[in-house]
Amino acid sequence: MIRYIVKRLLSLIPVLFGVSLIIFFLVRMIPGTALEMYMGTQVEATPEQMVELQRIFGEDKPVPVLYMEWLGDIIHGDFGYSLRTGRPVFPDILSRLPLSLELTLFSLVLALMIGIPLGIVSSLHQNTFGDFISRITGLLGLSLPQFWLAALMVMAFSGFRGWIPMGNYVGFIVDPLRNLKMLFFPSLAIGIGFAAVVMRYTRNSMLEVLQQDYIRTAKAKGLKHRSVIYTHALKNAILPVITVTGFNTGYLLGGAIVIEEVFALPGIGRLSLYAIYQRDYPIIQAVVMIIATIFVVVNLITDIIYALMNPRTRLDDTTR
Amino acid sequence: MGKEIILHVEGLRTEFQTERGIVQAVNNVSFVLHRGETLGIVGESGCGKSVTNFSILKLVQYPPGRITDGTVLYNEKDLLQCSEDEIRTIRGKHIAMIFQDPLTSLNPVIKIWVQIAEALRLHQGMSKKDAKAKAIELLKLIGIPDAEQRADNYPHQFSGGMRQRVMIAMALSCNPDILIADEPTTALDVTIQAQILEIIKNLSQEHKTSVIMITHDLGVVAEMCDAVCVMYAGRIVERATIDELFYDPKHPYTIGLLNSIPRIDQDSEEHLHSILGAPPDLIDLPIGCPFQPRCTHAMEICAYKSPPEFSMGGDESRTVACWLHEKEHAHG
Ligand SMILES: Nc1ncnc2c1ncn2[C@@H]1O[C@H](COP(=O)(O)OP(=O)(O)O)[C@@H](O)[C@H]1O
Ligand SMILES: [Mg+2]
Repeated sequence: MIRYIVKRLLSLIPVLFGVSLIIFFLVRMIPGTALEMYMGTQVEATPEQMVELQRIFGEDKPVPVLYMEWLGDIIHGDFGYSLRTGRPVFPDILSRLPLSLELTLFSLVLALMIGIPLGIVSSLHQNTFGDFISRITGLLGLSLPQFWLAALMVMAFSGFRGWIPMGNYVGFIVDPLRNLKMLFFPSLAIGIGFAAVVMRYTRNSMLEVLQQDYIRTAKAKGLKHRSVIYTHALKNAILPVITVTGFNTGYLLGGAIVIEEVFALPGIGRLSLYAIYQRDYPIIQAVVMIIATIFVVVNLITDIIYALMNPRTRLDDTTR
Repeated sequence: MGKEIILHVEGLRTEFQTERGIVQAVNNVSFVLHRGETLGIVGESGCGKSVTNFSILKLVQYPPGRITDGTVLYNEKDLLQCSEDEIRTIRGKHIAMIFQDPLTSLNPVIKIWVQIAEALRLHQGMSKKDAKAKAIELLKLIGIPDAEQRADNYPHQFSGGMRQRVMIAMALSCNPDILIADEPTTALDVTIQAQILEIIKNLSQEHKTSVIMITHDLGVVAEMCDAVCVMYAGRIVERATIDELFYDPKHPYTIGLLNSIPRIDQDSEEHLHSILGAPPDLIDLPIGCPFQPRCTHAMEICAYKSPPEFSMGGDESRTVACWLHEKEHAHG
């Protein structure tokens, strides 16, 4: 198990290397350089000033050279300085990351709490009216864009009985209740589509599992319906749901980044959005690297949970 | 007869609604099981043996399956009329089942001992600890080495034979009156088959459990059974004691089955017959005798009239559903 985790963490290295390469060159393909964005159209500068500015904005060297320098820096844990504020990038990201992660986690929990029960109910009442309704709802949840839902929620609920508290964001540690209240609707907007995915996976998986011989064995023992469903069926049916959850956590994090903007929440979403507007390359690069790391780690965690739930999987061949 | 009847199945019909039409899987099946007896149900695959026995415990899944007629009397109670709650107290406690494929019949993500202990906790109200101890004891009884350690294993860590032993331990854990064994050895190696049959035989004799042994293997019947029902296309075509079946078979289908067993005392190539043709489609059953298209003795009447079960010598436990034996019935 430990060996497996170490092995998987080592596999992060080539992944991150690839990501760094792609993102570094990709951000520089966006038309307009950081310096051009900074100068705007109005400001005049002398040639000497321009040379100095190009040096500050890191536009004095060929891109591959810049890349090698940057790579060398981040290996040493130095993500550089914002081209706009001049502040170190890493602390800024770190202070905003918890909000985005909380949003992701909250939306994940909501999606599972909505999707799994609906999926079970739907499978148990296959092709009935209830099944029909929850499947339609699922389809809707899947096809409504997150940002649209989010905008709708803002319009409908903000100011209205304070369902979405206005004003400045408060951290979970400062005021948990207010924090959760603020994040509930954003999380719902992010998670609802995934809830629909979870519902469909749970339903299909349950339908398949309920046909299995061991379900008949469980019934033949005289077990109650509840035990048959929740012990024997669900323990098997949940496995594909775990897998799909792992794959989709990255998508939820992506959703969080978009939705933060709609609800004016100061997470890494807003940070990176402004960084993109301003071509603040160091910030964009650092955010992408951190998200990639989170993505890989989340997948690792999912695989471990999966292995713990499914005794048939063996994480590696050397130890058990 | 003097023997106590423990289970009485009468006029059982079970059908499946499919896209192609209604499958008459069990078509007016009746039989009695006596206390302490082992009753064989034999027939080719697809003739309705499993569905018959699932029907007894109302384990036929609806949809597509539906029990449309019949009674199953156990302790003067018609199980088919029982509510789900009532039948649940019978399942596993009074009537237990072993299934054909022990791998797919055990839950892959639940520990062996937990699966055995479930019925004990439910029906005998045992504590978790006691049930585990009892489960380990049962594992020892059926010959699992290192039972204490192996109890914590999952099904995939057991061999096929060991899994079937676990199924047996599970089924017999609450000392049921009746054990229904649905082809318990079909999925196993020949060498393991004998061991499993031995275990079932010994344990059922020890606990005076009545057994319904479903099989397509007449060797198993010879080994285990006291009486036999031969099934064909959802019906019982012949019922007999074990001796009558092997020494005086009546139905052409039974004779065909017996002839298809390879024997050591015969020149195998020459004398090994098998019944020509395939079992009929249970959706479009012929109007007459279902076996008629494959029968070498078919007469005119067989094509348009389905034979009732003729009792031989007025004995309800010796019947043949074949027009050839109409006269014996009349004269007997
Ligand atoms: N779930 C089902 N849906 C449709 N037909 C079924 C189903 N289960 C069994 N049958 C049909 O019922 C018939 C009897 O099956 P079964 O009792 O399993 O035969 P066997 O004698 O091999 O145990 C078969 O023809 C099979 O096609
Ligand atoms: Mg069968």
